[in-house]
Amino acid sequence: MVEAQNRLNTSTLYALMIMAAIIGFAIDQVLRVVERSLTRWRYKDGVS
Amino acid sequence: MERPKNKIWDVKARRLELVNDTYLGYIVLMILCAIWFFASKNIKSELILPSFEKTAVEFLTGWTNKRVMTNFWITLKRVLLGVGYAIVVGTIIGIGMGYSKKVYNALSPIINSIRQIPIMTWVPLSIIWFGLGEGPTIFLIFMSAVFPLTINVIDGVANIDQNLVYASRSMGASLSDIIRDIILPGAFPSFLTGVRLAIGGGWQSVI
Repeated sequence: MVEAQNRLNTSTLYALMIMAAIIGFAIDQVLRVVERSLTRWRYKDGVS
Repeated sequence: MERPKNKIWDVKARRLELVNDTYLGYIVLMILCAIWFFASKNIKSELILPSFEKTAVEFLTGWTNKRVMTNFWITLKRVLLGVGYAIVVGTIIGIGMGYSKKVYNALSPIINSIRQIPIMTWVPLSIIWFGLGEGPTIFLIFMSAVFPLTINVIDGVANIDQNLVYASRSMGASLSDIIRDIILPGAFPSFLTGVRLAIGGGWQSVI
């Protein structure tokens, strides 16, 4: 990403930024699933 | 009371069912891609907005590029390590501050002051303390992750019903029993929310 910045290679920079966003989103979703499975009692009656 | 059957309402309801909530995100994404495609054609400047096709090719080939994936993997390991340290420190401080008013009053000015310091100002100090290499990176991730986690744990512990603590004390529970059987399970949902925020903050700071 730093290399793409220095070379002003904006297409690579955008692509890497989107990849980083997707990986961060995936990590967050995994944690969300873990949270829901470990605290299932909070969602039993549809109330969090 | 049963809703009267109305032909117009039934048609509307069926139309709404077609646009299922699950697909809304994908529809918005496709609209954004279309806007990018046409905007880049109009702007015609690779610096301001690169072409959608070129970026899409870079994006798709990036997932199979060994160098890119190796760097992302190294970054992810550092984030997990930094967040791991933040979990240990943040949970201990959070439980202490959430459970005891004295500990809260003692540490709150320090914690609330340090967390306002911009992350980038820690860079020179972290290089002096940890040298060049992974140390400063992990330290910066730790500093980004520890405060959201601590605050969530404090909130989780403070919101535990005090009657549970009084009831357990009246039945002869020790401090360790209270922490193990009441504090930790009661603060667990807030702790998990804090971990989510910590990992998000750590990932942002290192990228």
